[in-house]
Amino acid sequence: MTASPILKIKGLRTEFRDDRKSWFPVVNDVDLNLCAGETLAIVGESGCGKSMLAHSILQLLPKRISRLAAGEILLNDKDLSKLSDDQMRRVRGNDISMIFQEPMTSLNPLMMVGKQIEESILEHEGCSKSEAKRRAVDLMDLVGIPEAATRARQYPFQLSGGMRQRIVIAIALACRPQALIADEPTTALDVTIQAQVLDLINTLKTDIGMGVILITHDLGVVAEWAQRVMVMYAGRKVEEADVETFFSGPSHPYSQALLASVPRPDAAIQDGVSMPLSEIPGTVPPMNQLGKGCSFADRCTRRTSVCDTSQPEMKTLPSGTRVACFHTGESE
Amino acid sequence: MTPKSVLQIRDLVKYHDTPRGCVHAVDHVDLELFEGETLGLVGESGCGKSTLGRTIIRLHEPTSGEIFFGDRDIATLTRAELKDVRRDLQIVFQDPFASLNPRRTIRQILAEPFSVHKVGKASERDQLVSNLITRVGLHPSFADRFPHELSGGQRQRIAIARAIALDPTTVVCDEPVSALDVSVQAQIINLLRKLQSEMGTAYVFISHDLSVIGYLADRIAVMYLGEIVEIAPKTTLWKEPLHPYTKALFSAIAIPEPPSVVRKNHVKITGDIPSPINPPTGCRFRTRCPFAMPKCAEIKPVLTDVGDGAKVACHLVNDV
Repeated sequence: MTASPILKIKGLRTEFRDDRKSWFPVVNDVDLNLCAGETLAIVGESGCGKSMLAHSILQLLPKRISRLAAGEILLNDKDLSKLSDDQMRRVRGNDISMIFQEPMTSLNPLMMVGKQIEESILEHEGCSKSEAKRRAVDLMDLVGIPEAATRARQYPFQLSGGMRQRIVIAIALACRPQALIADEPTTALDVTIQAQVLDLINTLKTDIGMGVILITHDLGVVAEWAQRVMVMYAGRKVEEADVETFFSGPSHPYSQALLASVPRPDAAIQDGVSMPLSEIPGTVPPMNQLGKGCSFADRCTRRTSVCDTSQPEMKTLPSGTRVACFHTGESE
Repeated sequence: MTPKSVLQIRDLVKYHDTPRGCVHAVDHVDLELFEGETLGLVGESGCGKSTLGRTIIRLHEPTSGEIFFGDRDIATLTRAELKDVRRDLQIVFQDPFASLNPRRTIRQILAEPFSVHKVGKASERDQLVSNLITRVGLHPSFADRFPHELSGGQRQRIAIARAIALDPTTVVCDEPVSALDVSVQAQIINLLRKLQSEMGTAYVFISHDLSVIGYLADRIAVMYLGEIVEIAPKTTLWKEPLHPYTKALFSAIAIPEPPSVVRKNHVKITGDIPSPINPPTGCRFRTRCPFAMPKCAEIKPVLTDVGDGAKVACHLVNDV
C-alpha cells in the first residue's frame, strides 16, 4: 500500500503508577501506521497491552494514575498527545472513533438508541435536531437494523446483543471518522452474529475509506478480516506482518506458540486424531515486574543468555515482517 | 462392538415460567451419551445448551421427560438418591471465579467431595487432596491458597479437580474454556483430554466455540432454540453438515490460515435468534433459513436418521 498513513504512532510509551507511587510502562515503545481502507489487527493474550494501546490513542486512560511518557500519536500530522482535553473531545467520535467489547455497557440504558446516535451528530456537526434525527435513522439503516425508525425509539435492553453492537457501530461512524478502533467488537457475540458484524465493519470501511484497528484475541478473525497483524506481548510490539505472511508462518516464538495453541478441528479431522495442543507454559508476567531482557524469555523455547540481559531490537526480515527477537532470521 | 451407553435422555423438556411467558429452553430433546466419549453440544447463546447441561445433572428440575443414568431415572430421584448419583455425574462451570467459594482454601474446596461422600478417613484426606492437585498439573502447595490467589486457568484446574475427585463416569463441561486466553485454553483442553484417557470419563462438552468443539468432540449435537437440529459424528458433520443452520455455523468459523488457502463459501444467515418465549411454528430455524419453504412454517421437521449415526431435522434433507 502506497497511501500515506492517516494514523502514525511513534515510540509510544504509556505508564501507570502503582501503590508505591513508582511508574511502570503498560505500553512500551510501540510504533504503528494505519492507512485508509486497511484493517490492522492487534493480537495478544489478556494483559499484553492491546486495550491499553487503544485507550492511549484516544486518551481515555485515567489521568490520576496514568501518563503518556513518550512518543507521539499523529492523526493526519496532528499530534493527539499534545491536545487539551477539550480539543481531544472534538477529535473523539469525529476524526477517530472506538467500539468497545460489551455493547450493553457502552450504551446509556436510560436513553433511546436513536437519541444516542443523534447526540454524537449534534455534538460534532452542529446541524439541526431534525436533521440529526433523520441522519440517525439513516445510519441505523446503514448498519442493517430493520425498521430503523421504530427501533430508534427503543431502549438498549429491548435490543439483542448483535443489534446493540450495530447501534454502537452507528454511533462510532456517525461523523464518518478517518480511523476506527474496534476493541474486541465481537467477543460478546455469537459466531453467526460475529460474521455479520465484522462483515458490516468491513463494508463500511470501504465505503467511508477509513482505517480500522481491530483488537482481538481470535486469530481466526484476524486471518479472515485483517490485512496486517501486529502481535503484542507485555506492552511491546513483538511482530508485525501482513496477514498472508503471518499465517504462512509467524516469526516470533510467541506468535508461533499462540498460533499453535489454537484448536484446529480441520486438522483434527484430516489426521483422524486430535493431536495435543501446544501449550505456552506460564502466564503473561505482571507489567510492573518486568526484567530488562526480553519479557517473553521465561516462556520461550529458544531462550539463551542474551534474552535475559538485553531487549531485542525490531528488525525487518526479507519477507517484510518486522520482529523483535534475537533468534529469528537465524537458521530455522 | 457397540459402545455402552451411560446416559440416555428421552423427550426431555425444561420450560421456565417467567412474567413474560413460558421460555421453551429445552424442548423435547433425545440424546444418548456413550462410555468414554465426548459429546459436543453447540449452539448460539440462548439456544438452551446450558439449561440442558444443568437439567441433565438436575440442577434444574425437568418439566417432563426421562434422564436415565445407568438404570436410574435421574428425573425422579429423591435428594438422597441424587447425592449418590452425583458421585458419578459431575459438572465443571464456565466461570472459575464464580464456581469456587472465595472464603475457602483449595484444600477445603477439594476435601469436600471426599467428606460429603465419606471417602477415606479424615486423616487421609490431605493426601487425597494433594494427589488430586497433582493430577490436574498443579503443585500440592496450592492447597493452602485461596481462589483469589490463583489465575483463571489455575482456578479452572481446581474446578476440574473437584469434579473428578471421585472418578465420575460422566462430567458435564459447561463452557469450561470460554473465559480463558487461548494459551491457557490449550492447557485446559489438554488436561481434559489427558484425564479422559486415564479414567475413561464421558464428557458432555457444551460450548459456543466450534473450533473447540470440533477439536475435542467425538460426536456433535447442534442445538437451536431448545431443540437438537442435527447430531452426527464429528467427521461426518465437518465434511458434510446437512442442516442449513449447521452449515451456517460451520462456515462462520474463522480459520487461522493465510487468506490465499482458506476456502470460503459462506452460508450467510441474517437476523437474530428468535425469542424462546414464542418460538416460530413448524421449523424453528425457518425465520433465518435461506432455504425456507411454505411447508417449514406448517410442519415441524423431526430428527430423522440419515445413516452413519447422523440425525437431522430438516424438510430439505428428510424429504429427499
